[in-house]
Amino acid sequence: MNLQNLPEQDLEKLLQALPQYQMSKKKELVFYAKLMKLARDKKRLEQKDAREERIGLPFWNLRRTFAFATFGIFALFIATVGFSLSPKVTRGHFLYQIKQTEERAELAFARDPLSRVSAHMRFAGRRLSELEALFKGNPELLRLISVAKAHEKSEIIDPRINETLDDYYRETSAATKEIPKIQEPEKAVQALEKVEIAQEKHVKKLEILLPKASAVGRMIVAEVLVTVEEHRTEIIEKKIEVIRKREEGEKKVEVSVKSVEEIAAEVRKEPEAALARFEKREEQAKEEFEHAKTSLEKLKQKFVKTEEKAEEATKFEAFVDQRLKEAEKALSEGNFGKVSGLSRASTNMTNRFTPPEDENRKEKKRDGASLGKDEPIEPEAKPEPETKEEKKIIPEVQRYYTPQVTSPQVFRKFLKPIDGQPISKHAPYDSQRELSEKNHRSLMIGKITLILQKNGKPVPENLAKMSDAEIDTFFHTLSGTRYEKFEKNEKDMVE
Amino acid sequence: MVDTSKSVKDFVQYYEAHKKSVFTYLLYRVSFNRELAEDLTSDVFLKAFEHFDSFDALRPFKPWIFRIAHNHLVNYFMTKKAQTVALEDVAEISVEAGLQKTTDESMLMEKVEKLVADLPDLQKELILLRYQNGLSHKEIAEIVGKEEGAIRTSVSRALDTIRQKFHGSQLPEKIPMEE
Repeated sequence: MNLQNLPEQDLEKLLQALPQYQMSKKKELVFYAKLMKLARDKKRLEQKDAREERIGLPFWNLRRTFAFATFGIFALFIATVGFSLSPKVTRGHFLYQIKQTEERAELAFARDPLSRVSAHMRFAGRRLSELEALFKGNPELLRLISVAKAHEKSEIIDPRINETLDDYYRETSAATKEIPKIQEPEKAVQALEKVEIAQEKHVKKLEILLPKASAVGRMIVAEVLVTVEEHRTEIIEKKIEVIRKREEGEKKVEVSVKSVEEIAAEVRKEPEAALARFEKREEQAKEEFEHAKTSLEKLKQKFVKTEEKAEEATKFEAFVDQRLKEAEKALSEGNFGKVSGLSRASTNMTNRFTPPEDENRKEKKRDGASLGKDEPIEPEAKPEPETKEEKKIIPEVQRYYTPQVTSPQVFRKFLKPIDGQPISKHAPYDSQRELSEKNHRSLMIGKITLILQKNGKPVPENLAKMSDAEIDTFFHTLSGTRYEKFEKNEKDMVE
Repeated sequence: MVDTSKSVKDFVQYYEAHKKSVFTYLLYRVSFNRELAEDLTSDVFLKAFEHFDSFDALRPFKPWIFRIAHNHLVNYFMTKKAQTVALEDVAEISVEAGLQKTTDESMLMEKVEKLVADLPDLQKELILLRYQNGLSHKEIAEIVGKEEGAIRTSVSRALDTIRQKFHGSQLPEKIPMEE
């Protein structure tokens, strides 16, 4: 455009479009403080004149002035603190330290782990609001700067964005670190629910932010979105696990949750994959849901076949049914993280559930349940022969997978030490995951041996020589507790 | 805490409506010395509040506040010298309808902005009051204390100056120090 030949009207329009600037918030606050003081002085002066005519007591004016001044300073302080909590007060803002101080004070007043979980998740929400403000705030400024600096095409990302993101992960991690301190199942569920509900809101906020961010910003938001969804899935699984334990009558629980920073590190390794996963999560959530439904149907069919359906089994079915209904509702609402969490938890529970047996068999099994006793063990009844149709469809690996062999009672009965190290008979099934590396390896080898023996398959000679990772993978593949690998192996086997 | 009298509330409303215009005007006038412009803006509005009782609410606020701003600035220039900063170091641009979306348009806008900043003081003031703030020639005349006809001529000359300077091949990267 050549200004020299530009008609006057167009030049005027250009001049009318000159950008306007605004004062810094700090200066505005200072202005308002001065304005209030001026207003007070003005009013005081007016009232003094009127009062002195009526009362004529100068010392009364002095006291009133002092009271106003004190109140004014206090009110300014409150206003400053109040303003500091605004999402526009981000890292680098002069009021940000006040914000951090206020949050530390709030945390100091939190009396128990549950309150601290609430506080940390609240702060995490604030970090996300700040992130939103950083993305939205001054986009034109960023563009103008990039234009001014030799017309570079690369986008300038505010370093405050990464710092705020790290702060967000830090707050969420701090919240989840409080959860293992809570041993009462009811409170543990409440704590997990607080995190879950907060993360649900965070996901919605991020989904709204995603289309508004710049191209590079979009990658960052997608990474956070996937990380939060993955973490929320883990939280939901843990919550259902704790609910189950609570209903089984357990008085104490030990909940450990993977930190969001660990998940973020995994997601960051492949940022393009993170974006792709985000885009495919609906598909993934649906697959997980269908798999959970299928697992439950198979279990129900088994109950029907064997005609063993005691009260416990009915309760269990109802419990999982309820979870699947919640998952279905979440699917219809587009809440895919929740769908994943509920579906995976339901699948795991269904896989691990032992159908109840008749009273006689229960009594005999209880007597022989403790390790180390040399009691004759009644041989298990052989499983019913599978139909021809099932034999064709079910791959070899699935024959190893039955609910019975994964129950803790059965494991304790048959498990023998592999390398001479005894396995504690008092350790509950779940806490065996926290055993030392050596015991864990022994346990895994024991489980694999049991599964293979129960199904009449030979134990590989090199089993004891396999690495820890190979043993873990082998066990999970056999027991179907990692359904992705299970499905992959299933397909491989079928083909 | 806050004086809830009608005059303070009314004044705050006027302040909120006009603070950007006044600040931008002063910013250009002091060669983009942000801190100075902020202090001057604050002083202008405080001065305006002190004399708010004398303001006729039936008349528009903008010419009144710009008159105060103009006079305050004249007093300031008589006592102190302004310092310059680069245009690109000025932060917190208000997102207004004037900001263009394409790179070419924003480059052009930036050039025009520099040209205006580079104008002689009176012409700069007239361009800002006339086009950025939409004041009439008559209102501007009252503010700066000149005849309306002279204002019209000066505005026209200012536009010519802008055109001529744009045609010049080299544009100054930084705004020269105010003398």
